[in-house]
Amino acid sequence: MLELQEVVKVYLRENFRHEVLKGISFQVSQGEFFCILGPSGCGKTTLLRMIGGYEKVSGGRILLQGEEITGPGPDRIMVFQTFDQLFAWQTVRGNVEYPLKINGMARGERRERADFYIEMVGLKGYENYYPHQLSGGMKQRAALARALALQPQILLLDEPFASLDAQNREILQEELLRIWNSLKPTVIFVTHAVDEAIILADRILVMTEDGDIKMIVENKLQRPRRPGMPGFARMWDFLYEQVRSSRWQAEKRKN
Amino acid sequence: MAKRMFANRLLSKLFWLLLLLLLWELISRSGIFEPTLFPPFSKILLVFWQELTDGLLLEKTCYSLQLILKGLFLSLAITVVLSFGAVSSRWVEDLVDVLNSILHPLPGIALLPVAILWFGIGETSILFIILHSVIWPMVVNLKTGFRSVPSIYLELGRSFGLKGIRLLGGVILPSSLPYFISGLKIGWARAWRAVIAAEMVFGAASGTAGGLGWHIYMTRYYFDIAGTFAALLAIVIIGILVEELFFNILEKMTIKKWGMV
Repeated sequence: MLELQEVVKVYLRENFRHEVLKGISFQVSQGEFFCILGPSGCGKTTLLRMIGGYEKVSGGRILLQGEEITGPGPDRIMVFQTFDQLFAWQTVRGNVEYPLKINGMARGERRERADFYIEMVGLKGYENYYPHQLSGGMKQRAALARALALQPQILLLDEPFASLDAQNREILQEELLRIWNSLKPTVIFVTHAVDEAIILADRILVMTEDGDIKMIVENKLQRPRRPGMPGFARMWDFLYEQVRSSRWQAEKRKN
Repeated sequence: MAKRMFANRLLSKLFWLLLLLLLWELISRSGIFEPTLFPPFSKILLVFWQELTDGLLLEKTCYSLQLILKGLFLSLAITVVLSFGAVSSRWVEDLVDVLNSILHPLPGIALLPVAILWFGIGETSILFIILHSVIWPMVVNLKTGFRSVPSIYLELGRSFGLKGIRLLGGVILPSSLPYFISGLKIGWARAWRAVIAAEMVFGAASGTAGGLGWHIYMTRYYFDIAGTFAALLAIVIIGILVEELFFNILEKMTIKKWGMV
């Protein structure tokens, strides 16, 4: 349902042509949990932002249900890494309801839907809290509820748990999987953490440091996945090696 | 603990206030200065009370305040348009910058003779002075506010399906509310001063009763110096009420409640 065809991204900086992504092609099917794994600076966020429609492709095409993506839209909602993505002037419920209101949903219906997703992410009882009264993890839950409530065709998650402490990250990974299991949305999840990719994804796209696809790995480990389970360590070693060899190159390129 | 300290500070401020007023009263009663020019505070209070109860002061105040409200409302609309234009387009921004550089240093009251020539003696001229005094400092504030809107907010807004004026009203304006309010504070202070100053030059000539500024001018003309001071007292009290009460409540209900400051 999502198809990238030879997608290229080039930035021009003072006579210097910087090719961030060079000919990326892959497909993500309905209901799939797809991870993009790569070192920081490899262009994975740029890739996600182009699918979101925030940045234009320099070459190639991105098709959603056969139609080319030209800009942002409510069919692709992004959840960011930063805790400050909720509108500060709206309560949790207000934040979740607002995009529904924009898209013309009637008051009663959107209230019902907002409360459904707020409960789903475990924020029941916090509907009337303002964002600054919530912890980081709760803010990310609320942002997830807001994205889910729009029932987009694709959820775009850009390292949404990267700012959380280890314990909260694990909890939220589990919650995300529980939600994914019950709603089966299509998810594209960007991360630089190997274990996170293994725990979450059906397929893992490993990027090279210079914006190309290194490989796409099928993750056949049985769910639910724990770091101690058979096969996990081998997969981790393998993927870690792939990412590690890119990492230093990417770091050098950045500076 | 903090509460007790606050109460102590309040008490000490109150103490100073009362001491200053007492000093005023004593100096006035001592006869060092001509008592008609330097009326005792008790007399000023009495006149203030009389004029308040017979409605005169209230009428003058209301007249000035309605002028300010009209002026502020118009200025707000113009400010939003100018600021939004400036952050949306380089061209408009350069225009706003040029206008701002020329007009910001120009005191409103200096424009009054021109305003009288263009609009005659009356409300329109005063409104013109208010607009001029308020718009430029507010544009500077609101432009900064619009620039400070996190790019994530704009991207989310666009994802949700907002564009143009709906993005402005739904995301950009609420997100820059702290700047908006501080701009409004400056605007209010400027407008209040502009009105009093402009009214002193004319006021009743417009056929209406005139406002506080005009009242100050007339009481001096009729040598009712206690009345002049009573009007000054009214100006001080309104200033305190608006700045301490209105803006405090407004902030508590909005940006403080939302953790935006």
